Amino acid sequence: MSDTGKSDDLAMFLQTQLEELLEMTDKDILEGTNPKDLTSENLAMITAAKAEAGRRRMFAAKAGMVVGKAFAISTMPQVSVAEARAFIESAMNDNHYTLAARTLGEMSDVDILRVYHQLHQLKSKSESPDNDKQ
Amino acid sequence: MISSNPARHAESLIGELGILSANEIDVEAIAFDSGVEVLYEALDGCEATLVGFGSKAIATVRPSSSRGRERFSVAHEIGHWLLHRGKSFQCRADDIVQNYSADIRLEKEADEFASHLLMPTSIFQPAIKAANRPGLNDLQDISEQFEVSMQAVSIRLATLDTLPIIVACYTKAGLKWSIRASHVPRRWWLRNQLDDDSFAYDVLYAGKPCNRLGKQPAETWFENDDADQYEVLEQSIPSSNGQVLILLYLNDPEMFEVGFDPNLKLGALSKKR
Repeated sequence: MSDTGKSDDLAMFLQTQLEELLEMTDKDILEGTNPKDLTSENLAMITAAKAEAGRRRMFAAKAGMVVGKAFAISTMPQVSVAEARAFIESAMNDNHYTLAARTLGEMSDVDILRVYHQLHQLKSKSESPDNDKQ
Repeated sequence: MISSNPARHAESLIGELGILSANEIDVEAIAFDSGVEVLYEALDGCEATLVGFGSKAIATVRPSSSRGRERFSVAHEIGHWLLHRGKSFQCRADDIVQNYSADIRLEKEADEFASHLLMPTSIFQPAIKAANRPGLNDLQDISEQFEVSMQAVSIRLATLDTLPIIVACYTKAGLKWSIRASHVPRRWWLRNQLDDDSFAYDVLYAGKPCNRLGKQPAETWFENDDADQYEVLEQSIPSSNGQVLILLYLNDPEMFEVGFDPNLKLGALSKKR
């Protein structure tokens, strides 16, 4: 859904640079320059780069939202309420699923079918070969 | 980035996304970045639900006339997704305050996450500081700036713990909920019913507006026998469903120095507030 891979690479690069910078002795830093000034300049650069990476991540998320809506799955399997209820009950005891909803006994038939279809949609997407590209 | 502290987790996410101002807090985009698609649909008995599988989830939020309420629901579900993945639990109740006062750990954690995601300290604190000693009018402006409800901004202000405040909500039936800054002594015990000398009483029973903070004898608000020795500042505004929202400033330093009140009824101390 997001540009997480690129963000992770950039975050790792920034983290490595920060660690190297903090481990440098004053002698290692360019001669004739105030080490404290240089460190603060580099820290400022890293902060700015991190902020830019974050902004790009947000931009990618906003763009992804538009694409996600355009390609939303519209067809869903027809199931009975009893089948959907049994599936949800099983999902509730499976830690691959996350579910914050009313208890099964309190859910209306409409709720049961909506939750079932959402679970099915997520499962289908995760099993789709295109999933890795997202 | 995983943290067991919901507030830290939310603020860390804001930092990672390079968000520096309130208008950059696009909660749907943050949800998407976290793997959560947000849908707005009518729901029965729940403010919002979350359904997840693997690394993706769908949050369904009940449409509301209050954008602040919708945003809080989305942020709350992001909190569940990042903090409670792989679990099944009951959905968020209809009432934010019901969650706040409820003894439900997961709901409280998600609310704390949402509160800090929508009002991160790095952005919220300067806004509060700029207002100096904010009254409810200022909080209204801040709530619009952050696109959150007045309840959410009031609770966040108390948890920020930078000002000597108590926020409370009363109905004609009495005290509904209250929250105080951590440094405000718990020995100050709010009355269960509104005193008819309070501005809040005028707001609730006569619809009389209370446009700014005004002085009140502390005994108007507190049951303690020694409350008549002090003054507080009060502002009250009408809230939804026949409620009145009250902001109290304990601006007398002596109210912080006075010790335990031996005259308070033991029953009162055992009550949860």
